[in-house]
Amino acid sequence: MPFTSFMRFLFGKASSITAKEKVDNYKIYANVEKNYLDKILERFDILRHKKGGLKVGQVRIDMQKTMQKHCGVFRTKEILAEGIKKIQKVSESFDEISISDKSMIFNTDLVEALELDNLIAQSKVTLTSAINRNESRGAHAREDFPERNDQDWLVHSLTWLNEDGNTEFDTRPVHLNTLTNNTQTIPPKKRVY
Amino acid sequence: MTRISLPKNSKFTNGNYYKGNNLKKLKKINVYRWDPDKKINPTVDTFEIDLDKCGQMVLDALILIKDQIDSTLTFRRSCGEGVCGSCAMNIEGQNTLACQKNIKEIKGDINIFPLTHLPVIKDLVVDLSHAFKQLEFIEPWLKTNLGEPTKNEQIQSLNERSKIDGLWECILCFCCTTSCVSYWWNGEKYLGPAALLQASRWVNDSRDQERKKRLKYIEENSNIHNCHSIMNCVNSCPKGLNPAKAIADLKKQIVTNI
Repeated sequence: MPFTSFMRFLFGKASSITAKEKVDNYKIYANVEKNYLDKILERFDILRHKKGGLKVGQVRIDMQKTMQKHCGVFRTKEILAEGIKKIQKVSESFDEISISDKSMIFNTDLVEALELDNLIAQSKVTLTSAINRNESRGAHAREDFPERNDQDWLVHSLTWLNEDGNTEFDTRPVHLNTLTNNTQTIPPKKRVY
Repeated sequence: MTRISLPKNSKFTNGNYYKGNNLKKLKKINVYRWDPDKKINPTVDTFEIDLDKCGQMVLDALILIKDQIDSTLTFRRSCGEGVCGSCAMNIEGQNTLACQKNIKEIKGDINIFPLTHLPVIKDLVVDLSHAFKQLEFIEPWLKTNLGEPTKNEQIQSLNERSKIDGLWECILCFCCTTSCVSYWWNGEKYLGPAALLQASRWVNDSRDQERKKRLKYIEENSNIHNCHSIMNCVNSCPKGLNPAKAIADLKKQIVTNI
């Protein structure tokens, strides 16, 4: 069982009980601007009426191959930089897709296009995070920086995807202490197998 | 004797033929198509594909068709490795998972239809809501009389755990239920093999404390005796499970334990 689903089984009940205690059903926690809804519908509508020369599946395979080749576990700055250029092209070719299924009933063609749009965004931020993190850590094995570097890189990567399609990178410190005194903090150390 | 004929709107005709270019290893795939927006009878479209450029399973062929030939082709899919149960469909007259059926096993054209005896939503997608309601009916969750949640695990011995082997593996693809002849006739009342296999999974769980209640409930509400051991369920199960045996076992427990 994947670890995340395992966690869901373990903590699902506890978190729902806590949520019930802490969240008030009728309280408005955040005001969502009305034009956000327009934006969502606009995205849906534009995609639905796309009439380009490419099929969703063709662009998706380009995205998959780019990420497989340029964003694998073992990576270097050059490989990643080339990947960023390529994914930019994939992203541009996404504008050329066409949705041939016009139906509003179980339209998997449209759903796959929406998914692909999200995946291209994910690819961009993944590549940006990977090229900026100049160290190796876990499944991020930079062959040009083979060592783990806790001095500079014991931080979370943060990446923004702007509306123009470009990314920004920053970091945030990691909470290294537990929230209670009941549990001892385990200091980070290099994993050796 | 009763005479049965199919409703007029269920009869299909030959549809489009998608010819391929320069195919080295030609394979023809016949796929059932039905578009709810068009008010016409279903058709069977034929696609020519090149096996050299296609993965080895039937699902790969369908994905290839959707990605390269006709993207309006609609089917459910997800994991591609036989654990999610989404791509259940009727391939060569047998309900199975498209991702588990090797193209090499099929000689000649491949005929793909939706799961049998369910309302079609579109192309190969069927409406499973009734089947899932029936699953809900058997209350497929652990029931204990402990009241407050306990902090400790509920321990099971190896022997107790082995009693639900062959039952828990069900992925709810409903290949069995939709191939069951009794279910075709009495699907409204008879729960069908998938739901009853799940019922058996909870009845045989040593941690469940409402075993007798469950058995009584099944006896009164599931029409379990509609199972006549036709064994279509066993034939079609892509996970190699034996719902017929589970149902027989339930019947036995109902007789001996209530």
